[in-house]
Amino acid sequence: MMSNVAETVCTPGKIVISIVAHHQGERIAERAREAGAGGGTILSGRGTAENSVLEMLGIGDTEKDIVFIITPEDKAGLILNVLQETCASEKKLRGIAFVIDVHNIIKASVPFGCERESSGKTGGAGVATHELISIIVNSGYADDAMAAARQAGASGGTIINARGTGKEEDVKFFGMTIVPEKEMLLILVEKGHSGEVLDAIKELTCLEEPGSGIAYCMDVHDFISLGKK
Amino acid sequence: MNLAAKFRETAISVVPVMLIVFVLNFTVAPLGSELMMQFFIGGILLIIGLSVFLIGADIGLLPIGQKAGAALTSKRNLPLMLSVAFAIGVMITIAEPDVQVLANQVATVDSSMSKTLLVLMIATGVGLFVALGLARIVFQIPLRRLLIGAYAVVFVCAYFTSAEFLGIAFDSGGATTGPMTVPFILALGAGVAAVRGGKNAEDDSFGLTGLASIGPILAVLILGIMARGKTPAAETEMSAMAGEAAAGLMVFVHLLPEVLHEVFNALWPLTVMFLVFQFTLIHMPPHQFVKMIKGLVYTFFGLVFFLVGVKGGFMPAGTALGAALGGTGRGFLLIPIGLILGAVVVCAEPAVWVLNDQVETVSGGHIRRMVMLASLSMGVAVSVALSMIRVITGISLWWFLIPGYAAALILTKFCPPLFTAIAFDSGGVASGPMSSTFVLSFALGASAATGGNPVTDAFGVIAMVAMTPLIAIQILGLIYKKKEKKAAALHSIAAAPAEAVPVSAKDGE
Repeated sequence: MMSNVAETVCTPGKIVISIVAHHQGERIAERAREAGAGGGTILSGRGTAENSVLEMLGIGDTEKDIVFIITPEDKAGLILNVLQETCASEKKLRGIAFVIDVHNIIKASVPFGCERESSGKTGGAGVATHELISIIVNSGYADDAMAAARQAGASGGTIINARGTGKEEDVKFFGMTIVPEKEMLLILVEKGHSGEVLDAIKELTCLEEPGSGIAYCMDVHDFISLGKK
Repeated sequence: MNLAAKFRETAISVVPVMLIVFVLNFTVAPLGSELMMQFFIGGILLIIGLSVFLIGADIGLLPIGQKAGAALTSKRNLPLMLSVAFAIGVMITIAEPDVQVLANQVATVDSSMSKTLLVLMIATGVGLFVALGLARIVFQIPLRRLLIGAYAVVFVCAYFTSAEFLGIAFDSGGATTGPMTVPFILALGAGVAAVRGGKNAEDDSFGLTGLASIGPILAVLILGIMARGKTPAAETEMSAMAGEAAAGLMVFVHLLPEVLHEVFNALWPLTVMFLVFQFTLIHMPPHQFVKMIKGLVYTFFGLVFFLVGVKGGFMPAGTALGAALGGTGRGFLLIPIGLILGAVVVCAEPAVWVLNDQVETVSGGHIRRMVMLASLSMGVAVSVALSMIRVITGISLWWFLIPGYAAALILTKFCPPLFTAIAFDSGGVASGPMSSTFVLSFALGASAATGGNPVTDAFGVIAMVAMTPLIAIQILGLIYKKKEKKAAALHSIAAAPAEAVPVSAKDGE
């Protein structure tokens, strides 16, 4: 059985993230697989309103699929190209895609076994044109964070429901573990603008309490928008 | 855009009902141009109302219930949690317009029964079962054990109750869980489950609505035992229903105040509860708070449009359709037409959409809403067809309910728990305002035309609509289970050495 351990290890690698309309995630993952990706993980989230009238009416939110594809370094460009081509020819597929450098990819291969190889360097990345701001806050607060971010110049964001695993909050209630509900807000901004957005979110009164959230930034390169222009 | 997508979805689900009625109108059951016009306008109102309602539920009702459930559990105070759950159950039931209708129905069977007492008993029943449902999640009691226990009590009581109450009791289980309460209770359960960590958390997201709809069944059955031996007065309900159809196109305008009142009644307790929760439990930030309020406003107007459309257009058309088909001497036609109507009508139930969305969200897209809709549609189709057989032949409801519920309860043993929970929820969900107006009127019309006894023959149709999804969704669960096993087997065989498959949440399908 142990002989089945996979040999391919891709460190360092890339993570291709694509955000598209609900139910289109499978399509993206499928195309990426055809382009050489091993597979993908699809999350559901909701996109915040694109225009202020809809936002005011409270009907601007759309359902989104977020696709994570972890790939070896050399394949990321090809996958991105394939996605762009597919989306340019299909009317329904619209969204964005971008690439983040990752290292220390650990993969559990089938049936057992786990390989690990660490590498300090973040291999030849493209030029970072954008930054991805991730904000994790208590459930319900992401919309307020988004509103603040929008005032600071961000155009839109995607919200994913999540559960926290904070140590001090892991409490038992009749044998049942209570975990805090969280929301994760992803906002893409052009390189250099993340500071303003983060400052605006920091100003929010509802996020003043200690432990109410965290935020961090990542460099993103090869940002493309998918779909017909 | 979201709004356009919602409109398209709801239109797709309402248009088939309209098409079928149009086809019937020009073939076997002419309804007259005025009634058809009325039906057409009703259909348009229905589409608008359903879309707006669903958007409102998305940003109002559902997040509120969800946050309330999560916050209640996070407090880690069992007495507080259970008493609030009880209060929620009682309040939303008292306000539910369908409960008032039900109380009137019971009054026609036994006029000595106090309406207030009846409403209070049903509300207490719902409250107790909501509290029980939350306690179940906390103490990790398997849902199926609780369901079997509760239904055992139900059937013992049903044995002792009078026949007239039997249909009404099982109808009430579906009818009292209306379009406002179902999303709220659904979300409440999902909220409790969301803060519960560990394995099987998603299994606990559902089941609360299913338990809550047992409450009214038991309450009415117990009243039935108390009222045993009384003779029913069947005709009043029928004539009351016939009276409404005569108003012509002005019917929509006439209905408006009544419907406004009804929806307002259903919404205000939820709004009050929301405000209380906001300032004591959930403390939402300003942006989110405003959004929830907007959601409640949308639900209000959406439901008003929807109900005006259903009552003004669909109810009279349903009655006329049933009467026309039943009266032609071609009563057997009722069965296939019932089958088709059942299949399409369930797609236009507001709560069905909410449930399917919740299922898709909780399962992370694993169980698609279209798959859910198709299963529910099949289930309800069978139930309406069986009800038509009952209308024509007058077979007792017992012959359907006992095997049906027995099958549903036996299936709980084999079916994955998540599907069992969804199945019992969908029973209360499928029997919403569409079936309690359009389908019920259709059955009443047919029953009157074929010369049956509407009280025993036609009532009970909602009970059937509430029962078959229990079986249909659990069968769906069995299919999923089988498919997953197959996929897992395939996966371990196909796992060739060179193929390193990164984690994929959806590979299992």
